[in-house]
Amino acid sequence: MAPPRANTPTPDAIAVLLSGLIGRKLTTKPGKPWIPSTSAPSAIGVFKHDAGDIAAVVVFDVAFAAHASASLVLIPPGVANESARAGKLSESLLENVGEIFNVCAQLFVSNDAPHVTLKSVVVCPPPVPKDLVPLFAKPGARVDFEAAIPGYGGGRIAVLV
Amino acid sequence: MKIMIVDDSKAMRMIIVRTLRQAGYGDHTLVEAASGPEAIGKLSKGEDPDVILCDWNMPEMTGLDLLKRVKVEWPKTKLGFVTSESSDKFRSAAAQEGAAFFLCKPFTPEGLKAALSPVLG
Repeated sequence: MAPPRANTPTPDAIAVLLSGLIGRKLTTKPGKPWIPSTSAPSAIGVFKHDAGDIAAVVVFDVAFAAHASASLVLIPPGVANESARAGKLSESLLENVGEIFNVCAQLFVSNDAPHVTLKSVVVCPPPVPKDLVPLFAKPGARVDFEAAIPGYGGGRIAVLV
Repeated sequence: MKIMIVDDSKAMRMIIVRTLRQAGYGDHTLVEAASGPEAIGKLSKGEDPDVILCDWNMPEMTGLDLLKRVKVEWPKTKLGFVTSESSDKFRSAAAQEGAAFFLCKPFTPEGLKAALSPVLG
């Protein structure tokens, strides 16, 4: 039997959730599908059902991850800009991204859908972990958009279910 | 009045403190713990918060397990959840164990105040 599918959130639902968490109203625009790679460094939140199968991933490119992380705890935007330029997240920025992903779990939850929790946060590069490759290759559904955080910067967000 | 914040995320504890200040609780004493065991340690050493704001999912001990312990050992202390769990299943479990409130992340200063007002007066 195929594992149960998680809900697929809309860009609006994601933006509303992130705006509430960050305390700034995100602006969004449609984006093209992309896959994390060496040339597209990213942070990936991996969400699993209680049975252990992968339910969904939320992917922030390094620019959005840096700006969202910095804005969450009011780190100056310059730190996020520097991180985005370098294509890397410091340990503290990554920790904040983890908390953002943690809250994102509720995007996949409804009373009639299986329970979903954040199980891990991975960064790319190195390459996407092998167990995520099938989902990136052939997701059941995906949402791609760009988001900007007022007072900070923005970047790309993808959700694959 | 004293408020204890129990969350394994340093960022989230920071956000809760900030939101408490925005909600008008800036003059309350705020105590932080990064885990259930750390919270129990502080309670055992005499910290006597009027209310505990507690995450649900934490590595060493869930918020629900902390609630069960607090109910027995520090019955005057109220505990409410501030969590990313949002389904009715979790709300019901919290209510069944006597949680003071159940607030989903993200939350606003108004939402936090609405949750805390009945507890703190």
